[in-house]
Amino acid sequence: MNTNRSMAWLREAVGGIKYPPDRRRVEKELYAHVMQRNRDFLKAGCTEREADEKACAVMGDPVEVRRDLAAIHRPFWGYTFLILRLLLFAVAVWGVLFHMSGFLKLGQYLVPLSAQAGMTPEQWISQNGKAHCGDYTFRLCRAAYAADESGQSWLLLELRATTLDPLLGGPFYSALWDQELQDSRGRVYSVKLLSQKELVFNTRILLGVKDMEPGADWAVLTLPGPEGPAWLTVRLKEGIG
Amino acid sequence: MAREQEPGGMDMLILHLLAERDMYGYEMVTELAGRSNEVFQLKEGTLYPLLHRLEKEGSVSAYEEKKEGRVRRYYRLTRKGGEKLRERTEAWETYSGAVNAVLCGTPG
Repeated sequence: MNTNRSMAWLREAVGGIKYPPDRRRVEKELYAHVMQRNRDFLKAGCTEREADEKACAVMGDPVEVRRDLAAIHRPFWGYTFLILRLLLFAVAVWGVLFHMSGFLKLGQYLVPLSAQAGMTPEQWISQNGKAHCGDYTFRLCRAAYAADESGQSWLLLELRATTLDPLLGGPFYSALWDQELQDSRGRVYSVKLLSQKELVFNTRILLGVKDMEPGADWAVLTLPGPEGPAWLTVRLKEGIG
Repeated sequence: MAREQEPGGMDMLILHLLAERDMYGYEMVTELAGRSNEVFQLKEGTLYPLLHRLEKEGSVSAYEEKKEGRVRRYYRLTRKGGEKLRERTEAWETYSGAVNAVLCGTPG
């Protein structure tokens, strides 16, 4: 059955109803009616095209029906649904763009932080320390003694910071790197941020302690947090800790 | 054509049909046309805003039922709709009585 005009009439008539469940229900009801009219005219001897045209004619002006239906089907949830849909769309677009920006950084992310900082590490020592600090969780991944391009010695600490805050920022984040390290001999050193790479909810950080004298068994890294400091223990020799 | 809310308006005719039995939209249109000798041939799409308004105000309720292989939305008169029909009918009788009185020249 050729019902192109009837379908167009139907779409126009229900198009003003903004709440999809309501629109579908009304559309179903009007569809049944206009199809019944099409069948009536076909039975009366009309061609499919004539039946389609006559069915639309007896249904009336779709613009008038649309206006009247839209005025009645104006529920609170219809508008709420529309606003929510717009918000969800905006969040989805933002999420895609955010993830794309993260993936674009992936190449950089895979380059070792020590290489980016111009450091040549000796043997890496695996670590397993974890500390919570504000909205962040810090995991100490590994540590190594290293030399920079001018031959200065450093202790390198590689950390990973994770957070559910997608913006990964704020004043607390920028103030995090004012830290100190105390070794097992009681000597205190200041810690410098050498390099960092951000991915989604996840940042890799390379900290450096300049001119640290070798020989300590372990050290403690202090992380200043908004609710007091957190500590990470660093093993400086394999098999200790 | 009878207007919706006036004495003898379309809503009174619809409520009257539904007072007899539950009906779906298409059935109401054909009943109206048949009983009025094709005088009440409303544009059929305009019936639905009227029905939905009556449903919203509680004068009719609706339910779906499958008959002859097709799902149809039937309308049923509610108690509130019955009261409204009585008011509308009384208003119409008063109005048509007054019109007749004028036409027949009978003093009120």
